[in-house]
Amino acid sequence: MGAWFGRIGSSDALPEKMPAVWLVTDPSFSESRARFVADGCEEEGIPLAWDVKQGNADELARFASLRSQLEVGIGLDANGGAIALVAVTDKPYITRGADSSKRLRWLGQAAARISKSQPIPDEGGEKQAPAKPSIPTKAELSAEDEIAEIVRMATAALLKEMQEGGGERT
Amino acid sequence: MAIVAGIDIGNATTETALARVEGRDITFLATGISPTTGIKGTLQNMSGLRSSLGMALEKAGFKRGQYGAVDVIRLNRAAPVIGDVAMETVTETIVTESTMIGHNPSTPGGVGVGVGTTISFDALSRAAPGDSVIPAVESIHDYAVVASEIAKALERGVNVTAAICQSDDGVLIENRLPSVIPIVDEVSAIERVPLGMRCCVEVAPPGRVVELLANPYDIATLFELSPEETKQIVPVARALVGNRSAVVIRTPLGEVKERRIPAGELYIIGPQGKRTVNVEDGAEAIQNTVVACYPVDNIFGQPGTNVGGMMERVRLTMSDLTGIQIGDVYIRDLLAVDTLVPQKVVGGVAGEFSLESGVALAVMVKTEELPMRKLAAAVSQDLGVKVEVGGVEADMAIRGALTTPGTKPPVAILDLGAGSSDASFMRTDGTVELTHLAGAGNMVNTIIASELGIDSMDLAESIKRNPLCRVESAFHIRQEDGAVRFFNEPIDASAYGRVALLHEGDFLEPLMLNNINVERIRSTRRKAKQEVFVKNSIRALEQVAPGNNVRLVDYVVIVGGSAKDFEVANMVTNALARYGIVAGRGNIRSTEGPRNAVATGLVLSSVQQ
Repeated sequence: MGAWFGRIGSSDALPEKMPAVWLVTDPSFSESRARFVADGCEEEGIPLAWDVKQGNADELARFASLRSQLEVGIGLDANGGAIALVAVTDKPYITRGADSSKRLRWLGQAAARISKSQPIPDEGGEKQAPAKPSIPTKAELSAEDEIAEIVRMATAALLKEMQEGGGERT
Repeated sequence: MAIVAGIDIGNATTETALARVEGRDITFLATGISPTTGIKGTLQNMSGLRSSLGMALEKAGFKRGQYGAVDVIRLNRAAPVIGDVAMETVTETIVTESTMIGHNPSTPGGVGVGVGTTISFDALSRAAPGDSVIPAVESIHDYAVVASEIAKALERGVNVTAAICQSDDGVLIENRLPSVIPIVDEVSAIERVPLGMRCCVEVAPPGRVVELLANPYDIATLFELSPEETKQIVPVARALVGNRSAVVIRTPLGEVKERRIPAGELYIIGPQGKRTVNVEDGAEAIQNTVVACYPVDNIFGQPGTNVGGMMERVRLTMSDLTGIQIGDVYIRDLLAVDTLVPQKVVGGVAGEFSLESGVALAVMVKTEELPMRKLAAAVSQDLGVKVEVGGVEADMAIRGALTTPGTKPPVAILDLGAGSSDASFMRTDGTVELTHLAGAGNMVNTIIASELGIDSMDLAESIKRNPLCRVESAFHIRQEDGAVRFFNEPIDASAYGRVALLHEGDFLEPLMLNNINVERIRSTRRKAKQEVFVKNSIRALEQVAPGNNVRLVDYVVIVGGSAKDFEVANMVTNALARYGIVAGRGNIRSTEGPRNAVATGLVLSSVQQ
């Protein structure tokens, strides 16, 4: 198992200069909650470095992005979370609530995806849009529908025959 | 002095040309355009007509509703043809007796191939050493617990060869296991995974696609299938082609249900009698038969087959729309295009689709003469303006098109619209040859929607009309031609990393299509346009050209709504260059581009009468 998550300055800190998304939280934030963010990143294959600092989510995210080799940072305070990019200087790129473990994981996943130049995941977590198209097809019609269709077609054909008097279709 | 409004009611748009006429001098004041309301030639057109005329009035400095300022309205005598499009699968529908998971989670765990028996996660602790098992893990289980249970089982000598997970935990579990196993995650309908069955899970390395489960013979080897059973597994293998991860589960025999719906035959009735062509033979064979039967009198489909049902639906729609008896609806032309139709694979757990071959058919229905006089009377009463019905649409189109600089008779006009592709040819003596063909913008939309699996026709229309790009960072996009564009403001996060449509004014519309890249959408779009517009242009010119020889045409002016498209006119110009023809997008009155030809012609003809 490789290193995916570590607190700056502790014994399990990620190797210096390792490409990682940075998470900076205010001191009230527990490690167990930070781990939910790390789960989101790890599932995407991106390590997360964690540090603690006073400030609001927007400032912390900006600070985190400037320290990240991947130039993506997450900031979290008691009110919510923000994702900042080094390139976007004036405000965080994404701001979201961070009230549940699902939300925290989503933030981690979104930050990791951004660092990979991939679309952010659907909100609400697990449910993905269907990977393949969803046009209703013949196979989806129920047996009743099909019988109705066949009857309709047969009736229409019969009516047509009658109207034409059978003269045209030799 | 009189103010004359030429109004052209087309299948998709109602266009107005407003002009001041003094003696033989015409000064064009403004143009208007609005979507056509209802089927052309019916009283429902009124509202679209008001809005189109109102727009022109406003642009000319009048009030929007100041219809009284107009002295004469000239309506086109719309061609009594209406197009419709339908889609049918050609390959038969087969229900397989296997369950498969072929969706493409963005991050499956591990890599490799695992074969074993499916068990529930709770039963993992009871599995005997030596058993080859694949647990199906519901989302209620935490990934750390799942990983430790699998690790314990492995330690006990249970051969856990792979795992199937409901939540997006594949990588998290994998990272906590002592050895690498393939894990397919994000399987939302995990309860539909049959337990106690032989199963194979494959996860390809990043950047690769599954090889084993996309090959029918490898599946046959794994599950010891007979040649007949192998034949039935083909839709499963096809549905898995191109995926990074896949699961196939063999369910017991006896659940095999097979149903074949023959695609059916088309009966094309022409001057020499009836000819038959099987839809399975594909678009080319159908088209050759249509040509052999020209001029087509009527077309039927074989009753009780897919195509039979489809042709009846077309007749029914047309009958409903126009009020003509179903038996009097004559299908006069047909354009077939080979396409791909997503067919749901029965036995799929995540709603998997396999792209079956199909055929898109556009048909042209000739109706009774459209009741334009009735409409004219109604317009006159409604707006309090004198209304005349002008000449034949094709004549008007030619008059309008000839205002394009650099044109002179003999000239051919290709009017590429939404419902039909029309061609007319004007000889030096002013006589005109004319044809209406099935298949135009709407058919392109249908093909795009089908091949990309989109349900919204508005989205298909948008894909048809706009070039693509991929949002590569918060500040830049890469366009489909490879060019990079930078923006001053950050692009919205919802579009980040996505394929998007680049609308006019640099407005980005992100496409929420998973696993479909720019190249695939681009090639689908361009192929659809080639198959419909380029093919139809040549087909149409063959019918109106002197001696049916396209090479004898010198000038072709392309007009109509679809000529405005950013690539159609170029495609047609390119294709016609091979015949030595000067072809290009029209520029009506040097200002209007390919739009407004008929409306302009209507105003011009008011003087030349």
